[in-house]
Amino acid sequence: MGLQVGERLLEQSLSTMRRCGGGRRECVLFWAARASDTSRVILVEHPAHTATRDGYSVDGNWLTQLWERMATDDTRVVAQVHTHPGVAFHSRTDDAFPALSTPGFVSVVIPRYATEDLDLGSWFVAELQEDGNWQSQPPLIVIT
Amino acid sequence: MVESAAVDTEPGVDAPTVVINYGGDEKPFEYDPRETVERLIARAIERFHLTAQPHQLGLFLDGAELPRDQTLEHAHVKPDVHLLLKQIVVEGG
Repeated sequence: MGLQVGERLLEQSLSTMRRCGGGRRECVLFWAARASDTSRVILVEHPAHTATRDGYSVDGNWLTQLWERMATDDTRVVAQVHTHPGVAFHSRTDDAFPALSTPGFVSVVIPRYATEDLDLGSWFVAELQEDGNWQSQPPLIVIT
Repeated sequence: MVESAAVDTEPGVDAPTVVINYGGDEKPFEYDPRETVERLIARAIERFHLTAQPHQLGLFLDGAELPRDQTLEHAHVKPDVHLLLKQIVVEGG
């Protein structure tokens, strides 16, 4: 069973990344779910971050505030989503520096700065395994 | 003044407790004031079932990262405080 994401949240994600990256820089956001049902994405978090044409870095203080808020709200980040300038794949940096290192955490990479229409077939989606490796095994995202 | 040496054993019965938050998930941890920050990070990795290595994570108190080679006592960790465990670097490209 994959991560269930509503079409509206997907469109919101693409819209946010297009606006933030401007077709020139990468962008990152997080998908969050209730702690009691981590299979269904209910909101999009757009972190404070810096970005270049081929990389991004999330602000540590912003992350601190998010983890504190999630403890109060009983929500959890279940996936990180970021754009690439070209094709979607997981770079060594993507492998090594995720927001969470919990097995089952999902990473989504969207090609061409998310400037294209929604097309899951062009995305790279991987799940963190118990051994610390990332495995891409569809379907990890299910549109609801 | 006699400095207490860092210990590498499990906290005993009636040990003080802190709460560690990882990604919004909070768990209580009994601790020994003489154990190092690094040791508590290692125990948290095991308890939260994380794939990260200890050097990739930091333990934060009121927004400040605790020095990993210090004992919890010297890092001013008091019973019942809430600590935050997070990746030191979150980036991609």
